[in-house]
Amino acid sequence: MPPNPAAPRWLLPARAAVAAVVAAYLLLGPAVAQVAGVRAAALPEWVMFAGFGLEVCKVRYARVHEDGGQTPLDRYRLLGFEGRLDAPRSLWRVPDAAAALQIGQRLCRATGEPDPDVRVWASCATRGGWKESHRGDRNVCAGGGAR
Amino acid sequence: MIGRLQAALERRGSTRTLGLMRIALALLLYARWANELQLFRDMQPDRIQIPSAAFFAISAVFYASTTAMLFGLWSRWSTAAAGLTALVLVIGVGELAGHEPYTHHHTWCLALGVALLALTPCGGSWSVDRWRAVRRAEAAGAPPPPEEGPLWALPLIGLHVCAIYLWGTWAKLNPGYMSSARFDHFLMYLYFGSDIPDGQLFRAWQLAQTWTGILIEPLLAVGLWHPRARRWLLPMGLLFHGIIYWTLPVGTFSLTMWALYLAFVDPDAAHAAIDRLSGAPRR
Repeated sequence: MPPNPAAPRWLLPARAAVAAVVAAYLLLGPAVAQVAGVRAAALPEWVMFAGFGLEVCKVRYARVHEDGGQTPLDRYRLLGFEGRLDAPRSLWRVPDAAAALQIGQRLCRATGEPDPDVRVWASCATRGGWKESHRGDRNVCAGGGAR
Repeated sequence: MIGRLQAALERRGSTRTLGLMRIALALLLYARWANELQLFRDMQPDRIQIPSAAFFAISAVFYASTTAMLFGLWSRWSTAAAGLTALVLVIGVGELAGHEPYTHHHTWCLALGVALLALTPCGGSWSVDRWRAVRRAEAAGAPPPPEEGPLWALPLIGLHVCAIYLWGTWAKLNPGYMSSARFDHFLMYLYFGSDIPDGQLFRAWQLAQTWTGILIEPLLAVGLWHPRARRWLLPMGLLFHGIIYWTLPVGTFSLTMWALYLAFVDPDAAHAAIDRLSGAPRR
């Protein structure tokens, strides 16, 4: 469609100025936080899910026998649940290293044996990936147990 | 170069896609904030950390401006007021007063999208403004005015979409994300819990998902400006946002991006297509 001939002379420079300022704000504004590392309240950052999903660990539990062999432990069944569906959330989504250890110690008691050897392997979420917190090198039933 | 810039600044065209965008964004404003800005919510001070008088003012302006925006009454002004109110919620209540849920990706995306829409003739179609213009023309015995207006600000909305994609990609270029660990975290937090599948096939799937996400955003940011690529990239982008809406807690983000994609649709072609669909004579 043709331009409006009745438009005043200042209109195009004004549009150009507004467009330039807005374009700079949109394209360069996020650089302040993402490149310069400075947070400014009036500038978007466009960092999605930066802190989301960090309260989770991948865990594995096993009982170690005298001959060194290992038997994986099903934490749900051993603690009296059918599976993850009827277990409390903190059991199926272990939030941190302390909770991983605590579950291991509950498993010690749940084995019903006087002196079991239960090991915990756990890595917990960080912004940079995974951080190993327990590597199964200690019997968590033997007092404390945290590595 | 100067000629192209001048043509872009003088560009005029159909206002129908802008009208559709106005309606969609107004409904998304309601979806995100209307519930939290009802007057009685102020009785829960932990919800929004601002004094009562300010809460009343923001609530009143939000409801009035978003309603006027939806129906297209004094469209540009009401859209500007709705956009500024949304920015007050994001920057003032969220970033400055510390109400963290208002600082998310989806709230920034929506607030800036509405503010940018106010730079366009977004009330030229599907609006009370249009109805009044037609009534005035009929009263004067003239034909209805054309549904058109200056479109110089339309590419700014496209630029908004591109900035989200490009800086969103930049934010993902770190070992945690590129190794697919962050994507593992999301899936474990939402679906698998602490027992994530550990096979090679699953690892490959996670890496493929991660890198599809990393690569598709810059592809969309650049490709959506090219008419030929747009034919394929628009549906791809719609599907991409549909999938993350279905699977991740993205709030109003996906639907806002769908609405903002109208900035990449040729306004006159869309106008002609709507005419064709409704059986109206071609312009």
